[in-house]
Amino acid sequence: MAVAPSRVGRTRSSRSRPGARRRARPLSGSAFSLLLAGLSAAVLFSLLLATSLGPVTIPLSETGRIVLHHVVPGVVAVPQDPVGDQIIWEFRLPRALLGAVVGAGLAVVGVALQAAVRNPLADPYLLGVSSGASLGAVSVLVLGSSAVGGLSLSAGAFAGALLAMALVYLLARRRSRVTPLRLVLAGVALAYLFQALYSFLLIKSDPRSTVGILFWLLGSLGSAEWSDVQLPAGALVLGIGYLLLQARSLNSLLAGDETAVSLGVNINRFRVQLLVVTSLLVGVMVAVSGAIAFVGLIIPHMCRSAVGSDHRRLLPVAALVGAAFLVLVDLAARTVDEPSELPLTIVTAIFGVPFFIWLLRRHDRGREAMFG
Amino acid sequence: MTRSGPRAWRVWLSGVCLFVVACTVVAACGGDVSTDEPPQSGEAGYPVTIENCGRTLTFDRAPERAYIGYQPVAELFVSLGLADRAIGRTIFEVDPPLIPGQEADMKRVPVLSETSFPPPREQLIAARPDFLLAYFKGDYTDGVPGLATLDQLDAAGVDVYTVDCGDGIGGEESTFETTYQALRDLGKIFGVGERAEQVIKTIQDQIAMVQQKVAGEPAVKVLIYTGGEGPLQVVGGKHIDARSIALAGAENVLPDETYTSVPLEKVASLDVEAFVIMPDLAAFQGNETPDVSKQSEFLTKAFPNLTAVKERRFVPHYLYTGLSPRQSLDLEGLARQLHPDAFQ
Repeated sequence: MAVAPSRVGRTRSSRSRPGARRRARPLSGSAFSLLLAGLSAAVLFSLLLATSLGPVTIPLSETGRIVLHHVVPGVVAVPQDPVGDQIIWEFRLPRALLGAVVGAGLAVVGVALQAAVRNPLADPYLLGVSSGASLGAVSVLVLGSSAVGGLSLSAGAFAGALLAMALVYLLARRRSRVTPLRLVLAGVALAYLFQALYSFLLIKSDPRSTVGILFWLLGSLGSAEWSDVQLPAGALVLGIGYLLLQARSLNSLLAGDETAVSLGVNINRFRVQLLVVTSLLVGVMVAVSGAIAFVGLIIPHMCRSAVGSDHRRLLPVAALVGAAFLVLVDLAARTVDEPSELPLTIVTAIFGVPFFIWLLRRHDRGREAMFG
Repeated sequence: MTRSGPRAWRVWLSGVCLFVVACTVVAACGGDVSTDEPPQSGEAGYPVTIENCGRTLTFDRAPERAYIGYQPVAELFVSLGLADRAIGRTIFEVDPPLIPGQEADMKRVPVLSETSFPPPREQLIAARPDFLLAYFKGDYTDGVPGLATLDQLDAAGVDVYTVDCGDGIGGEESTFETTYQALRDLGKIFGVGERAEQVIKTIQDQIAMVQQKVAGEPAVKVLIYTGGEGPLQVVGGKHIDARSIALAGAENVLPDETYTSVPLEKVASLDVEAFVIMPDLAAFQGNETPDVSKQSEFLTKAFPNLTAVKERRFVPHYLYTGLSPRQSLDLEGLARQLHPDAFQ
């Protein structure tokens, strides 16, 4: 109940309530615009870094020439080396862009779900989406795609994610109402079931194939192609658009069901809508990237501590920070252990956890100020 | 704040739209990149066309820069005298000794990958191979994220030959015949057909010799043990490497399994006459005979009543050799350990 009414967008006078004392002071409008501009620049810069750096050294000028050649064909000469062209244009750029899209997607879904179930531990995989997707993917990898109806890896993962989501939703529903507590419990319980099933498949499989599965379970953008970018990018735009339109209702959810109702929000319908939209969004992401942990948990907290809980501000900031973060994490994943690649969750956790702990300690002295 | 919020997100939203439009434009342009290879002038015997795992491969000349991959298939390749055309291989992480006669050749081939899979696509393409020898489909499909796909390899002008067409490794599909087929196909692709037939004949002769030696001997009932102290990791008789041990005069006590874990009590109830112990990775240390004393000690303590323990028959034997000319060498090694009298 820590949300100051100012965040619900009603009164301005209560902004200086004692409860909001340790919260970052709300930025002025122009300062916030500046922040968004800065973060956008950071995303662009991270994309530039991720495109020009990699295990194979390609001069920056050549990288620029290759990208320009494709963006404005005819103006810049055809790159001389087809290998460099393939590495930059077919491998690195789609991978970096997909990283930005997935990072942004996981971050905004984390923000929305933390509000939807009013639980700071909520992350994009709350509804069993990641374990469902993992079961789908592991089935394809272990049993072969022909054994699961000819589904490709990402189609299998998407199907698993949807299945999990539907099951969790059905389990959590009671007399056409969905309560946060039942959702979280159903999600956790089903996650254990799916985990058990894919672990069983894993134990039965050939040791050599487990490497690939481990990569998938820990998330990777290593297979990104142009065709993987379009659908998640489209889903991201629609998802963020929807969430921004609902920003006020999200604010009111965070303030508590009673407050939300008093503000005229049909909380049950809204919650279900939120679950469907965010789960579809995560399903699309997880199908192309595997289950990348931590991004959807820490980025929302990080951003909330910086710009407060007003979702009109929090959502765009989280999206940009998530995008830049995952692009850089992916760059690290393919360069630090050269010539091998690391799965993303290893990197997100190693970089993310210490930072998160520092953030927690910084806020400890006030109160449980990370959330609400 | 109530005033500036909406404006700020409008600014932001238009930024996102621009970004996504840019992505989409960029993505749309991305589709049609192709690398046209100039047609090659005809060499004698070329073009060569072969069927491989559902794909038709045509070669206008012998490839010159081959990525030869994982140890078993790399051994196939090098056995054909083609080492000078190899530009990369995986690390042979478990390092059973190399096939006698191949050491110098193998050492010359650069190690491009530290796993049993090809290196990530960027590094693989940068090595500029024109041929990739794949152990199985997992070397270029969804298996490990980051691997180049068939389409990407095709775009980079890399021809791909796959040895094991099955969905996984060591399934029902692969047999000695798979090895012979791969040798024949590689013989055609690289114009070394006669050499391929010689290698096949050597393998067949060695198998025939082993079978002749063990013909009169009763089959030894073995459990193939790879590690673990409860449950035990074992290899059942269905895996290709485990199936071939029948030719060395052995019988797997778990005929219907591939890789699996079995509880101690199950093992205690089996009639095991000899443990075939797959040495762990550190056991070789470059030695011909790996040290399996730790495993023997554990098995002795755990199963005092098994015949194998009473007669102290612990046979170190390296199994992960797959589709390689090594199969027959290993087979002879195993037969000599299981039936020492027959080889007197």
